Amino acid sequence: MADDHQPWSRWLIAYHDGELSPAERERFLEHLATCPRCQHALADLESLRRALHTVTVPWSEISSADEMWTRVAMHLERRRANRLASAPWLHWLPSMGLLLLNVVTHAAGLLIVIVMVLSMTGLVNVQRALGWADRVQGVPADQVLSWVALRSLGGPLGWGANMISLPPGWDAAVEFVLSTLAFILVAFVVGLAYMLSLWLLWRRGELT
Amino acid sequence: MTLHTAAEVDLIRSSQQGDARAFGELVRRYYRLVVSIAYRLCNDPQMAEDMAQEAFLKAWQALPRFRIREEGESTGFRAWVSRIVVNATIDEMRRQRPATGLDDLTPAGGIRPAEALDRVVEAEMVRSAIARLPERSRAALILREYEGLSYEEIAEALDIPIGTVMSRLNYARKRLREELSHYFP
Ligand SMILES: [Zn+2]
Repeated sequence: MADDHQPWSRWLIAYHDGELSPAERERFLEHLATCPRCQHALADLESLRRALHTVTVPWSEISSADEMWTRVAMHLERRRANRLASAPWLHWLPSMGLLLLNVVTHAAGLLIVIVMVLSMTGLVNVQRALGWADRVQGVPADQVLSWVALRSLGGPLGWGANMISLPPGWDAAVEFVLSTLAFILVAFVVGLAYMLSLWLLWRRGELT
Repeated sequence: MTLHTAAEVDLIRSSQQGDARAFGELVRRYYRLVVSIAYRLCNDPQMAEDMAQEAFLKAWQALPRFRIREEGESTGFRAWVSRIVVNATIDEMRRQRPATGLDDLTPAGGIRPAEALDRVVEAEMVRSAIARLPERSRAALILREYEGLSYEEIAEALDIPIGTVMSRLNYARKRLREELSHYFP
């Protein structure tokens, strides 16, 4: 008998704690109606709950939620001020970093364009001016610049400089586009890494 | 209910992105719960307030790492914030008085009108019976009986399996039933 009833005792507590599903609840209530033992145990649990609720929180002695938030907000602000005072670079890091990145990117882009124009107009012998003359032997004159761009920009992208050899007859324009794309990709990766580091700082609560 | 939960999800997401005003709304919504848990653990309104403040400051810092629960109506925030305040209060109680004696459980609020005396005496008996429970069972009992957390939420708040929640609740209720036997004719 005692063993037969064991599962119901567990159901009783789950019922009292609101942990039964609607179907289980219905089933238990059917049992409860016919079981004095469960009725008594439930009355016990309910008495205990009533007893527990004679203890109340003295809300009149406790600040309101708004007062609490004012205090919490003040603490957060003070914490932030302290952090900025101890590490002022955090204050201008995001904006200065982005500015610097921007300037560098644009300057490099401008340089490429200038060199391109100079090279195409024939005003300057770029490969000679850059000291590349002896190293570009055999590369067709109209492809030299793309060759230089690919070699210098290919490095950071993981292309071994020596693995790049231009197939003869490649259109210079195609290579210019390729090297520009390569450059944009490098700038993008650098920018992404920078944004990622900012984000990590922010996650750690350094920038809020 | 769904509206409330949806709004809470948005508040949590905004807070995680550093929106202090959204966090302020969360503080307002959960203030009573947090203070109540702290108070029922330590029986000291001033300390309960301090613990609530500390819990909210900790919550703000830990929020970016809080994961919103995907299934069910609840975001999991209630259990999460309960966990923070339970831990903060228990740590502080251990720090302040490593061995909690019954002597320092003074009734809150001082002298009451005579007609309410019986009720006050009863409440004090219940209060001290709860205070004599081991803190782990006490925390489980408080979260269930006073704050209405589900077994699952209590498990999360106390970082224990659901089976342990149930056995701690059983233990607490058994002990209280013995100590408050006059309630059970
Ligand atoms: Zn039964």
